[in-house]
Amino acid sequence: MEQEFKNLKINGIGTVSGGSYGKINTDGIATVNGQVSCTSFTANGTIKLKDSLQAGEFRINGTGSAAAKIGGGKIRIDGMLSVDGDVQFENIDINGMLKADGNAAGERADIDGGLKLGGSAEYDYLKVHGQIQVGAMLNAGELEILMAGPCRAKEIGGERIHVRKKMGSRFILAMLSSSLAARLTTEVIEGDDIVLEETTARIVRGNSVRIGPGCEIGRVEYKHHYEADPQASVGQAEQV
Amino acid sequence: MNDDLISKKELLDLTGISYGQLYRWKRKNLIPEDWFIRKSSYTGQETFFPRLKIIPRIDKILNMKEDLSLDELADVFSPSLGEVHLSAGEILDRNIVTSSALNLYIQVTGHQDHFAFDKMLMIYVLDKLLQSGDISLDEGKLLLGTLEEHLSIFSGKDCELILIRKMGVAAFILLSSGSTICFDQGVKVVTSLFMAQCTEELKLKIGGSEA
Repeated sequence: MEQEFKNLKINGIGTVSGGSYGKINTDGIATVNGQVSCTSFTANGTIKLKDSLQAGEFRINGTGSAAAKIGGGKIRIDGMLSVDGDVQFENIDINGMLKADGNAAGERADIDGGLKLGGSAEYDYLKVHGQIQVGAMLNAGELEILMAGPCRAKEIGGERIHVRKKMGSRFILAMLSSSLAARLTTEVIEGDDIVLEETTARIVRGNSVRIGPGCEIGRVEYKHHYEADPQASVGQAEQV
Repeated sequence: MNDDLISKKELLDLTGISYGQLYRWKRKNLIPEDWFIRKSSYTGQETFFPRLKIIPRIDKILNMKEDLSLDELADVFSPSLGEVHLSAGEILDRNIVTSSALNLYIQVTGHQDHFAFDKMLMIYVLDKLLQSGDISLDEGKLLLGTLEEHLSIFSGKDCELILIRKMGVAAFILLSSGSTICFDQGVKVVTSLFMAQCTEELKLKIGGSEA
């Protein structure tokens, strides 16, 4: 039997305790004090979650913060959200910025702007236009990064890994400080089909590896195919 | 213990899978996160795996992936399974229950193949009680009848199964956990089982974490 839950609406400034709801709509400054689960959550303005959230759909227009893990079916952020825990949505769509101390996992992620994680990221399909910073491992079936800022991950693994620099991006910032340049820095990249630009890595391992301009790679291990741009520096390359 | 580790590179050479496949399986939770052991080596940090766990697991994935999709496989290996169906043969092959318990179940219910998780749970409980010697085969039929009829009421909640005997006559009781129950003096409580615990044990068995 499906239980019917009440909808919730906050206009202006409001505080609500946690619980199970149908649709939640907030306009203005809203605070949720306890654990909350709902079918959909739309927040316009500022939203503060003091505990965990489970939502079929979660949408933020504005800024938000969550003190524990959030999860559910779909999340869309237009603006900025920072989370102290994990982010577990199947679909994630960001226009702006998502910061989380924990891990992020799901099926599909579309990032326009930035994603900063303390832990790991795991997606079947991950597309980034902007910047991505992952404290631990970045694991995606299909990973496409169009860099417009500094990108970092401890380790990258996947099937298809394509990293490119957005043309002419942040040229002046890069002149000011190299830490603002659109560049990927990582220790290890492992995958089947790898294409890189402007990347610093200690080791790149893959079936087919293409090293583009601006790369500084310590060692490449490849199975079938390898090519490197003349404007790239590769310490050694070996077919294994 | 450290000697039982295999490096990622060695593992890929040995099994013939690619980095992409390995990471895909990790992502699908076919390979648990804590099997990825990071250790420093002469080329910097490398990833190692427990040899005795990872090789049988990869063999299983390679053998089973033709019949099952990766998501179905993940269900098989996942500790939190919901939708698992096994045939009678698979249940016996994987040593989940003994054949005597399975046969008794088939005899009582006439249910032949594709056992869902809740059915397997009943057989598992039956097997447990039969093996501990607490019940006879005849009482096993009584138990199955009780479980078949009433276990679904407790779906999603823990419940306790109690077996009592009075003057040699057995009776099974299912009660929601945490409730108090009192018997008269002639009643002997033979055994009591918490279904949540049985569920977990069965999941581990099906997951094959101790392959």
